[in-house]
Amino acid sequence: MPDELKYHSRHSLGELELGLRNDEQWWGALTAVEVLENYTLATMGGPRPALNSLLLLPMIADQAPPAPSGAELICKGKAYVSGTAIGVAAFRLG
Amino acid sequence: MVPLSGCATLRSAQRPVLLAEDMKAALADYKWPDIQRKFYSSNDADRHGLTRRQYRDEVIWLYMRAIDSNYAQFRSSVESESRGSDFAFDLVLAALAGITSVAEADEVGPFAAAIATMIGAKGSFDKNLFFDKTLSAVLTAMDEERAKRRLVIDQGMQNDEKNYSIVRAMADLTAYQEAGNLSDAISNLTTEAVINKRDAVARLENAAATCDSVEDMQQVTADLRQLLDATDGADNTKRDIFAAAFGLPAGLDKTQLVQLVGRELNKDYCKASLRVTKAAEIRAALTP
Repeated sequence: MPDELKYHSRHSLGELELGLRNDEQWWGALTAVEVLENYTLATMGGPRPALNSLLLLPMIADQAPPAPSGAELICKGKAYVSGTAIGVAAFRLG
Repeated sequence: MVPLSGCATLRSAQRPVLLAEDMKAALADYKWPDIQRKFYSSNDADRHGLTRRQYRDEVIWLYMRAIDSNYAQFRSSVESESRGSDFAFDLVLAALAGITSVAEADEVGPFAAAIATMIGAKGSFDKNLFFDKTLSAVLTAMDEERAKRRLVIDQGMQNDEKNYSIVRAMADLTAYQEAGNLSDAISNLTTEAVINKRDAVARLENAAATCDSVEDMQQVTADLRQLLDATDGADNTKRDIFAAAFGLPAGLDKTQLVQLVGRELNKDYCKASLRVTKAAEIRAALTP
């Protein structure tokens, strides 16, 4: 059963990434990210992933950046980063 | 004193010397992801002889100029639209009076379209608040948001290319570009009026007030979850110990505990102190 977690809009990209990593250790792996009203909404569920395995990178226009070495794309969506809704791509290492 | 003729058309800004089209054309050799490849190249020749940091700064400067130029053109069109026609305000009045069809708004320019979008999206739109915050306030909000985003870029450029890479710079430039957005500016001004308080769960309210930085608590969260997972089984004793640590009633199954304890953790998702304390408390109670 997936769960939805809310993050306020002021987080930097790094803080949001860390918040997601923390929550994944309780709620399970990130499966989707979107913006709603004035916050970021993340959907999580299933097995808990390894520590530090989530990478969040900004989309450039509508394109996901190239996957970092050893990582695969989990999902693309939108998130508030420092007050602005931007496209983000989530990758999983390992 | 220089009298202004009543017949003269008064522009709100001087005609630009640097045209938006020219600035955008200057970016032809600086397209993503090509600039990323050049940035990471070990050969300066790929960057026209520039170091990585110099190249990053050049890319930022060019994009910033193009965004500024585009924004100036956009802002000018908004201002002239609002002076030249009452349509936007008629639209607001019509919509607030209960006329919901605003499909034609797309044809009348950015300001009207933004208001139409706003009205369409926000059923609980506060008209008094909106009329108190007129166009100049909307434009000021947009300018302020851009200034904030610009500051982030300026601060980033104080760092070397390792700590402020071209990827981060492009993300900040994207945010800078999106800050010049009428819908967001109106939304920011009216957020307090339209927010649905029933949806503002404790996690978000608490976080917004106190969560200026996020601590790394992956390990302690994983530890807590492992402690909970270890309570799986027919015997409720361990689960009751876990529940008691969070002030929850006895007799809950594991699925209920995941949800209810998770809700408690959500109240403090950016600070590790609660989790560290609880993990130690539960571990001690579970240890024979």
